[in-house]
Amino acid sequence: MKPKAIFTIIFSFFALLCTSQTIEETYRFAEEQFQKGNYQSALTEFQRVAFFDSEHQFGNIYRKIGDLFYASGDYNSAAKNFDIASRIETSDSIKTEILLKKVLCFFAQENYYFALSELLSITSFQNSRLANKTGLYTGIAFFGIEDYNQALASLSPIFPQEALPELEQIFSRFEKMRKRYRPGKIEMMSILLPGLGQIYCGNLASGINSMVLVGGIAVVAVWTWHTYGLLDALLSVSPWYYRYYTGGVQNARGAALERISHEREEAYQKIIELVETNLIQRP
Amino acid sequence: MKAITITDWINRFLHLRTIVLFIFVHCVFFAAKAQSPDYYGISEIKGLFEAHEHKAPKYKSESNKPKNEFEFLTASSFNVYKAFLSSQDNPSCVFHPSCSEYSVQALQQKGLFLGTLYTFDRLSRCHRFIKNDQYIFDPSKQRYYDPVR
Repeated sequence: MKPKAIFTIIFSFFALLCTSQTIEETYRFAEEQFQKGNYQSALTEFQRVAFFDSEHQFGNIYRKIGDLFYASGDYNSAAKNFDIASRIETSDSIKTEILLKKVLCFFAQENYYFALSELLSITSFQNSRLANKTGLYTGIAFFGIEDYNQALASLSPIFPQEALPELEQIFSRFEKMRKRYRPGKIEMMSILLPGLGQIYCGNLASGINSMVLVGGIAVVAVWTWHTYGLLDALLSVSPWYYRYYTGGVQNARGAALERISHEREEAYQKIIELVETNLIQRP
Repeated sequence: MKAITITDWINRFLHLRTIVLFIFVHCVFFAAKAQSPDYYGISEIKGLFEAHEHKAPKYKSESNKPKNEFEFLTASSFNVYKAFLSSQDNPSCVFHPSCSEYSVQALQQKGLFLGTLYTFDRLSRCHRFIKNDQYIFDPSKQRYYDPVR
C-alpha cells in the first residue's frame, strides 16, 4: 500500500509539468501544414485557433479559413468566412480585398446577383488598382446577369482611352450576334420550315435531320389520307407529326441559345485578353 | 605592402557599383514578377461563362469484351434512336435516366429476359400521372430519379 501511495503522489506532480498546446503553437502548426500543402489539416487547425482565439489575436484567421475553403471548392463556407473576416478587418483596403474574394466565391457559384449586391456595397477605393479590380468584377457581374450595357459602363472606366474602341467593338459585335440568333426569331424560322432555324444557327446535321423527319411524317400523312381517308390520317399520323414538329421548334430554340452562349464565351474571353493586355502588363 | 592608388579606388567603386546595380535589377525583376501574376484574380475569372454543348448520349459498353450480335444490334438501335429521333423530340420522358438509357442499363445489368421486363415496366410507368411521393425529384435534371435497381 505504501509504495502505491508514494508512486501516486510522485506521478501526480508530473501532471504539473504537462501543458496543453498554446494557441500560438496551434497557429504555427496550422501555418506549417498550409506551407506543406496539407490543406485539410491546416483548415482543421485554423478553425481550432478561431474557436479558442477569444482575444482576437489572429485577425487574419477567417481570411485564411476562407482561402482554404475556396481552394477545396466549398464556396458557401468560403463566402461565410470571408464575410466574417471583412467585418472584423480594420484596414479599409484589406477589407475591400476580402470582399472581392467573397465575390469570387459567388462567381464560382454563378450567383451573379449576390456578387453584384456585394460589389455595389463597396463605395470607397483606397487606390486605383483596387478601384480597377472592383470595376472589373462589377462588369463581370453585370455580364453574368446579362445586363450588357451596364457591364460596358462598369468596364469602360478601368481601361485606358486607347483600349475603349476595342472594348466597345467586342460588346457591339456580341449585341449583333444576340440579335442575329434571337431565340424567338430562330423558333419562327423552324415553325415556317422545319430545320431552318437549326441550319441558320450552324447546326446543319440537326436541321437536315428535322427537315427529313418532319417531311417524312408529312409524306406518310398524305399517303394515309389518300389511301384510307382524312380521319385515319389525322388519328394515326398527326400525333407523330405534332411531336416532331414541336420538338424541332424547341430544338431550334436550344440551338439558338447554344449559339448565343458560344458568342458570350468568346466575347468574355476577348474582354479578359483586353484586361491582360491593358491592366496586367501595364499596371 | 602595395599602396592603393586612386585608380584602384575607382576600379573598386565601379566594381561595387556593378554588383549593386546587378542586385537592384534582380530585386526589381522579382518584385515585378511577384506583383504581376494574379492581382486581378485572372486565373479565377478566366473560366467563367463557358458554353456547354448538348450532345446526344452514346452507348457505352460495360465490359472490354467484343460486342456480340445482340449487343451490337441494341447499341446501334440506341445510338440511332438517340441521334436521329430522340434529339428531335420534345423532352417528354418524366424520368432520369430516360427510358432508352434505362432500357440499355437494364439489359446490361439484368440480362435479356429480366432487362426486357424492366424496360416494359418502366415504359408503363412513364406518364404525366405518376405519384410524386414515390420518386425523388432531381432539380438539376428537372426529372424524377429512377435508376435500375
